[in-house]
Amino acid sequence: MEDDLPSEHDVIVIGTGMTESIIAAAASRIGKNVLHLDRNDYYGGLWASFNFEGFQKWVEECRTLKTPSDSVSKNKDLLKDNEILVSCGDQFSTVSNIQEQWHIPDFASAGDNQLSEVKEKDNNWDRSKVKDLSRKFNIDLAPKLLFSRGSLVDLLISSNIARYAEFRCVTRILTWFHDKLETVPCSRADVFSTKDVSVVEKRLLMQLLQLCAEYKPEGNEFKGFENKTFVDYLKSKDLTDSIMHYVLYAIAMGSENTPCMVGVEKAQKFLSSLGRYGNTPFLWPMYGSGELPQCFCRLCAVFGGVYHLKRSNNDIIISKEGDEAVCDGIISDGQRLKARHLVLSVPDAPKTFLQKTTATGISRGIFITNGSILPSEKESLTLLQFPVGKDREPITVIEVGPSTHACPNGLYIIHMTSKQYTNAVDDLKVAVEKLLNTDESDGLFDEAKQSPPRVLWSLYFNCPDTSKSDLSGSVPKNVYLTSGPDLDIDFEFAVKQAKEIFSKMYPTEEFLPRAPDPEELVLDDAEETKNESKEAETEKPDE
Amino acid sequence: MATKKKGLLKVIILGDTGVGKTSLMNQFVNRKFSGQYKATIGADFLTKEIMVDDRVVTMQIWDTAGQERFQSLGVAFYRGADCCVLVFDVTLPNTFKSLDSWRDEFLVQACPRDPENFPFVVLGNKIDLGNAAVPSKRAERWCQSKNNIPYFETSAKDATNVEQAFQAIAKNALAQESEQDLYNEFPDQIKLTGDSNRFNNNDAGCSC
Repeated sequence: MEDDLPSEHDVIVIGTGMTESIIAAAASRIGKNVLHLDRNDYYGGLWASFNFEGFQKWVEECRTLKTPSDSVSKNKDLLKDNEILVSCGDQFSTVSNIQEQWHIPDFASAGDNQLSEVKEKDNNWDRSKVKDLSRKFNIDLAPKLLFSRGSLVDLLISSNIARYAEFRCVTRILTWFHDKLETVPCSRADVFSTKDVSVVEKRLLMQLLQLCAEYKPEGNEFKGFENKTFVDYLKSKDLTDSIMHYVLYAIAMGSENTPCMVGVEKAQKFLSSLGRYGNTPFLWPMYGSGELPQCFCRLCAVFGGVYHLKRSNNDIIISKEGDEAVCDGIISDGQRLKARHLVLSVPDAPKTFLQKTTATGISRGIFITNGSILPSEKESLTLLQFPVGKDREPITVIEVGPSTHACPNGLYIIHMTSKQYTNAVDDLKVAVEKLLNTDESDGLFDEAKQSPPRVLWSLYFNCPDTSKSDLSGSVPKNVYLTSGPDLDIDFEFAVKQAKEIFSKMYPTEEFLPRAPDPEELVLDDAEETKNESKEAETEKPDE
Repeated sequence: MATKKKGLLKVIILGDTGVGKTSLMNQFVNRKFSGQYKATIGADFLTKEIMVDDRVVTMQIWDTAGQERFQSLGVAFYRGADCCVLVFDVTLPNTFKSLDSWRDEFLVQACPRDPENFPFVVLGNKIDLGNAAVPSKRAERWCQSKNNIPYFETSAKDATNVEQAFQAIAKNALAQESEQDLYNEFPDQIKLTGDSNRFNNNDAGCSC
């Protein structure tokens, strides 16, 4: 079924990460002709989720050094006189410091009776059992949560893309205090029912949360603290250590250096998202974060966007218009494709486009464990900000279990994410040592569950974070770069960047207006469809 | 992209571009047919309530939205499917040959609990054209070899066998669903809606 791609487009998007996918959907939604390509055979790029086998393939790709393709020289004859070609980048080369390790044996090759012991008992694991259950895993490269009243939830609802996705609530927020894990009371009900806090402290905590929730820039409460840290403010309130700790690390998700007003705003954001869908402010996508870009891609496709995965060897055509460089389109697998606008993810961008870009790094750790970091009766979905002393940002820990389809029954996936200081292993060490048991073991865990949980498999890597950098410095004027995943816990940055890029391309157009429900469309005649969907939209505004 | 509620059957339609997936859906749900070919635009999913064995069920039929054209359907599309309909064009043998890979693709991506017994239905479409190049016998043989998949020859244009085929699809999906419900350990999934009052206890709207 060989079929050529259409050769002219309003927008070509390369990379199917979150930001690129939102832009593709938004352009397609307003009737623009969108071509969306990805070099991989899966959606999401560095935002993807994989089953276990897929994840191992990804690790392998990162480790394999590729020789740059010489497609540029091959494609030269498709160029006009004043044009030059630059090759797209290789996203796998941006991932570094990969360290993958098994902490349990492989009995499959041994073929002894230990294998039958593993197979018979649910709590026993060896490598072959994990691999056999590969498809039960959905492991995220960039695990992220949604604030219940954050911009992505709003966008999913207002655009009607929410119909493609399902979520679960984060059920508890933990903190690391006095060398142990504690559940943070964050709602009023939690505050009243907690046994970790005295009555006096409860009152103080409620008052403080009220102040943060009601904060307005013109108010007086925080006067005098504008140039101080959030800790300074909290200290002025005569709080006990544990209350201070809860508010600073779990609710404001800050550190000792967080400026006061940043802390207040973050606390406010946290508090305003409470109670919409559950007891914590956060949602987690079923099947993982990698599901969300695909929801936006589907909307793009429903409105006519053309999709082609496994499309590598893309070169970008650049010519000069006066002093300015402009992009005419791309040459993809030997085919010249014209585009008015080109959107590229940073990992796919040619090196020459990134000359003025500075990147910081992200340290990631992923652990398959045989239990929760804090076992509870019912399966929990957990967020923990693990404090790492004065000079460092906390480590974000997200623990997901089988109910989110992250892993098979009996296992958990623990994600750790931090700013990169040295490398992933060293940066995350302090949390790993306290929360997990990484010792080599025989995998025969059938004795009573231990805490900390045993690690079956671990993976560390570093990847760049370009979200703080201006990406427009070295690109042709109709080319827009999107950052890969950023360090923040949520998707707010991706939504913001997608909106900014969309409004640069189409300043007067609406960003992702509500898509009609299928019942509002009649798929018969083109004319009829158009009119009816319009009527449906005006008659039936958002319910 | 799984949207499963109780009593709701998610059915996905697979097959090569142009075999009539959208037309079949449209004929079944809206009883309409458009002779004018256009690649699927605006087609998302259609829902229809039908009776199966005295039970009312809602079928939600998901179109590929054209993402099949360059084999670019993402794994999210396949989540939670109760039945998979494989469509080919009886006048184009290549679209019949593709069924193998569509079936494999489905089983790999959707990873159903019991792949051997997952309900598929095969539709040989466009029999109204009268120049079938894939004989019924050949299609039936293939279906038999895949654990007896039901086979229907349909015409989305004349509505031939469309109702019957979808009835069979619902019936088979339902058989599968009851089995899955048995194992449905995790009911608390959340769909986002405008103003959720899902979580409607004392905490709602509270400022603490």
